[in-house]
Amino acid sequence: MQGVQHPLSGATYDLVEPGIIEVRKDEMSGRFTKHGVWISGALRHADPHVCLWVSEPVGVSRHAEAAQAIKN
Amino acid sequence: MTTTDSRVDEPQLRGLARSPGLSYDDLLDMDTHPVPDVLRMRSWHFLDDADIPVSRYTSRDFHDLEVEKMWTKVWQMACRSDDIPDAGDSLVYDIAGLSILLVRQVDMSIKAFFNVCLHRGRQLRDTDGNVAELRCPFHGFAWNNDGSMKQIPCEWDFPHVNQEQFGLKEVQVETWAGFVFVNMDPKCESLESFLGDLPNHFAGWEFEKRAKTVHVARVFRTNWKVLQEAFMEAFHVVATHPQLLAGIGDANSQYDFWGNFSRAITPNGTPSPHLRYTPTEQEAFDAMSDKRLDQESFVQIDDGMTARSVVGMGGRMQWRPIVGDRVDTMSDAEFADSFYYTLFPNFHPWGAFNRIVYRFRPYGNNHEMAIMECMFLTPCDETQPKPKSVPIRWLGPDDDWTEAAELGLLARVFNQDTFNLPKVQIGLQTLKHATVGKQSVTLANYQETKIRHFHSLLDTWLAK
Repeated sequence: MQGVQHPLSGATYDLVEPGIIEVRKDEMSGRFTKHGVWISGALRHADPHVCLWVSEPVGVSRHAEAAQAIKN
Repeated sequence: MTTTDSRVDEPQLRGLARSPGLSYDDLLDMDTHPVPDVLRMRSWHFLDDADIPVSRYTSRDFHDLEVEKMWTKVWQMACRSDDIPDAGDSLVYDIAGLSILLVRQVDMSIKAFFNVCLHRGRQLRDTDGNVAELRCPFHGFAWNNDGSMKQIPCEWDFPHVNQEQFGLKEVQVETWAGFVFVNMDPKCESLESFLGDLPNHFAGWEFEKRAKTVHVARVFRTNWKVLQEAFMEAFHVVATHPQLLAGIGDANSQYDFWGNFSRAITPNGTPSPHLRYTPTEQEAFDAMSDKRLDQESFVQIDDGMTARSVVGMGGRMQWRPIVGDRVDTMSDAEFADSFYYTLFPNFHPWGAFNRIVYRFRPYGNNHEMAIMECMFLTPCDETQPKPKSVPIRWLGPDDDWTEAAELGLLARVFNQDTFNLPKVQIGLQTLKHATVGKQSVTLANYQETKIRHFHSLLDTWLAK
């Protein structure tokens, strides 16, 4: 999954299988490559940068590292 | 000011428009800790709104001019002093088809030479490493590590060579903050003069005590300035890194320049003015920490706290074991925000506790290929031996940044930037054709200040 919501469009982006991102907006959805190329579905456009972001393994940001210090 | 106001046309007033939203000074006023003076320093004036000719990025002639007038004359960061810690350590620094060899001397000083055998011109060394002498692998001409002539094979055949005058050709070397700079021009100004006030900006962050814990270099199919300029503004965040917007004041960044360096400050833990809603402090923090829809927040932002103050608190806890109680004197801003400096022409140290240092340069002498390097300079526990400086990990133009796992989340941010950059070079090739009718790129007046400042300095160098 490791999904995100696009802060501008409101669409949700989810990794459904390696290299394949499902985008949902309103009542429509579509599937795209990690570079935002349409594969299938009624939704024909996605933000390629967010597709790329969602397609890759989740990492730890420096701010998350700082948060971890608080937890510890 | 309205468009009917005649003052808008006065050049000195152009470029004064700013984004809606909190200014950086507004955020500093809300910091939970005293803010160092350097974050309050401002130095900006209008740099004209002229376009930048496409030929600067596409022309071989322009590249050759840069080599002749700039690369062979300007101070440039070659390595960290810790990259060559022991007597005899050597390092090869290549720039635009020129090769320089840095060698640590017995007295711990550093010398640099043009990296070429004076016999038939072979590159003297092509790898880093510890050496007892500088011997050419071709015919065996050898120099001592101080550059003096050591041995000429079949000396009987070179009665015309005066060995005392056959030393390696030296290059100027100076250091600042643990960085080693070289300059090929024997008549160059001192590094101290060239840096100007930059050391004062970094005085509180003790870079000389840091260790290079990450060093990744990646080759790109772009002009080196196309690559560099993608990392000199936050204007691209809205399109290239939109996942960050709830927690980054991209368009509220502060831009300034002084002498040979410029600075951008992009605040984090404050929302982008591009958003059509106002994120909560929790949402701002979640965006900063890349929380996914199916994850819990890394930390709960309680009432009375802000995303910025929590990052400050966490940063102090994170770094206290390393740098001690000095963290108590550091502002939230120094832990939360991005301070990205550029020292002309290609050196980009980031301030405070974001450990990034970038360097950009042409790949070989190719004006359409470039190298981007990212280093992490990490504060060290001074009671322990300093970690050794790591060597460079090289990535090719088709490699993925995530192959360098040591970059962490930054690798994925770079992949987003990388998605654009080769296509910029392709686009510029189209733009340069007269049939398009616009052979230039058009910059913002304020948000692309650092790029304008760079080109202003480049103009000066090329006119010398």
